[in-house]
Amino acid sequence: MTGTLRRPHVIALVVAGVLFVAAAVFMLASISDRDSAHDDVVQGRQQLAAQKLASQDAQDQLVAARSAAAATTSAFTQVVALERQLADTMSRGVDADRVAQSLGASPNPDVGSYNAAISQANALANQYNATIDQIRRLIQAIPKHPVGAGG
Amino acid sequence: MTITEARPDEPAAPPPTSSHAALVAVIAVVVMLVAALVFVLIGAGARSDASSDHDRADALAARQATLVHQQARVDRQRVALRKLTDAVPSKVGALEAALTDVVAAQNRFIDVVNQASSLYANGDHAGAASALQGDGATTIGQLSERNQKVQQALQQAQAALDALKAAK
Repeated sequence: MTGTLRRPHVIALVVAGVLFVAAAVFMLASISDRDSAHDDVVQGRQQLAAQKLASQDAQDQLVAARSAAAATTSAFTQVVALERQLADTMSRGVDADRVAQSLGASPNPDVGSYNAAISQANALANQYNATIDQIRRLIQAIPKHPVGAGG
Repeated sequence: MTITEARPDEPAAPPPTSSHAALVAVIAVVVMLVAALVFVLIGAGARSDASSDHDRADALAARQATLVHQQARVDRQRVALRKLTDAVPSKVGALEAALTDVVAAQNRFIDVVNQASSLYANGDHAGAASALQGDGATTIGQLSERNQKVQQALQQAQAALDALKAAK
């Protein structure tokens, strides 16, 4: 049949064919690109959703850590204050003990002063025993949350 | 019978296949061009959609990267806070141990004092003085040393507590 076609017809057919093929290739490439981009969007949404969950989880853990920190601060502020008081009392007790030891170790001890120093040491010992009881009660009241748990 | 006269001047009719082929060729060209135009339109639409989706995917990736960055920061904060939180009971525990050591030393000193008192009450004044000079001096030395440790432990516990308060 082509033998009967004129040259312009043949050229037009070739040009149209090339354009047809080129347009088809363009369309297929564009559709493939669109599908790929769509897959990227779907995957991106899934990853973002997972990341949001992970971020929320991390935020929740931080809130829990802050809560544990607040509880620890509240509980141990009183304990440390009492222990400071106890340490001060003990320091005075040690001073009184030192005086008593010094007086008692003398070859001619002043019994009155020695007994006074012992009485003072005993009074201080009673004070810090009371403080130790207070500290013990405070420590027993501290909730045993797993402060070391988690990352 | 009549003999039909020949007409040599009249051109011969063209073969019908030639015009048909031309017509088919024209139709094919038109169909291909129309189809190409449709393909281009479809492709352009798909390319436009792809471009929008690429932008969306990029925005999603950027948002995700921001969240990953934020999460890393939150995780670092949490780890640091837990470390500070755990340090407080640990330092307070060390302080309590130091205080217990002082109490133990104090009790040993009281034992020495009681022993010396017994000796003194039984008339052994030299023995009482000797007990306070020997064991008494030793226990007083231990008391002073342990009392120093209490002061150090107290400072460390207070520092841990202050650091935790500052971090909250």
